[in-house]
Amino acid sequence: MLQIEKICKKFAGNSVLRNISLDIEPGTITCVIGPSGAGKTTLLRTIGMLEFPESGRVSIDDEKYAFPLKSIAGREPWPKITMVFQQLFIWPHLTIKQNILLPIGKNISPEKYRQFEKLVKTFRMNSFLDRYPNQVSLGQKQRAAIVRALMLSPK
Amino acid sequence: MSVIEIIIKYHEGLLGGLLVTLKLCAIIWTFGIVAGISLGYLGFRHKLWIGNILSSFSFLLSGVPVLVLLFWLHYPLQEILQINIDPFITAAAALSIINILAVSDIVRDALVEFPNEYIIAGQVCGLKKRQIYLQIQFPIILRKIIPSLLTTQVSMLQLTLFASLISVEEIFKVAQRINASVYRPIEIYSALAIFFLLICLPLNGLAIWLKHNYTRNLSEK
Repeated sequence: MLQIEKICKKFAGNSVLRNISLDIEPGTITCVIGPSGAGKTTLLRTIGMLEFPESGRVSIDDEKYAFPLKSIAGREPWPKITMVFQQLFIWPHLTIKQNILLPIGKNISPEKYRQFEKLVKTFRMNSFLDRYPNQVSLGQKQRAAIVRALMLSPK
Repeated sequence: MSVIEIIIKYHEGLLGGLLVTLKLCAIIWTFGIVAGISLGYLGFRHKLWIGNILSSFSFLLSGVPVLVLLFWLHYPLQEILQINIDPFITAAAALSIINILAVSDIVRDALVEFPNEYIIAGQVCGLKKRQIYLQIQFPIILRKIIPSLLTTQVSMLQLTLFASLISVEEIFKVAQRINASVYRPIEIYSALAIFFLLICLPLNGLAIWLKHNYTRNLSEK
């Protein structure tokens, strides 16, 4: 369960998020829609703990973060919460396969590898798994970024 | 007298000169790479102090020709300080300073330009700081700086020729002395050119190859 309560965030004195509250149940899909500059990315970065709001609370399951907060060292919510960025940020020195498997670590369990194979099949990625990011199309990179995130089994 | 005959006849002198050149290079390369990388990193971490001092030195040095720096360290500075330093040490120091600043600039620029989002992508994937550094940041930066480092080191090798002008008995100075006694400039300087080509071209070729094969596109930022 993800809960956001009365989140406020300012950039250079301009209020971007004002008392935003939101509940997201596990296994649901939630869309945040709004015009450019409305603060969608800021909200997502706040939920992902990449930016800290000035005030408010964020709860991810049992972990609660009350702002203002200087650091979340030792209480990082990742990869329980993970992100697929607009610009993807697929690591350029690794192949698509290495990009997906790097966060899993060297000792991949058979179960995890089966998950990887299933996702590769679902996203039709077999033909470009061993290519580098600069050798694949944007759509292929997008699929790689989604699979990289899904492999972490976020909540 | 052909090139081969000259090389055979004066092989001891040429070998001695070659050894001095290689010794000079080894010092310049070692200091440049070790101190340059360390200073570049420190300059990035402590931009206000070390970074700005390094930038100022680089800027200052960019306005001074290598030859002028070498002569200034060899003649006026030693005159002012009333000391007499071996020309080899003076040349090694002058060229090391140039190399250190060049390498630190390369490293600092690579660190500054490194897209922070690659680190964030690692964070949200649950990677630890050490993993991000060793498996993402370090390999990307290394791939980015190696071609420039190689070409800089090749330039430094070529700059060692200037050491002959303050009487360092390196290969160019030896070649000049041989030429003064046998007067075969075409053969002697052609042999010298071949020697430098044999060392510099493979290194430059390697730099280009590495750039094409290992420096990945970072334009995603």
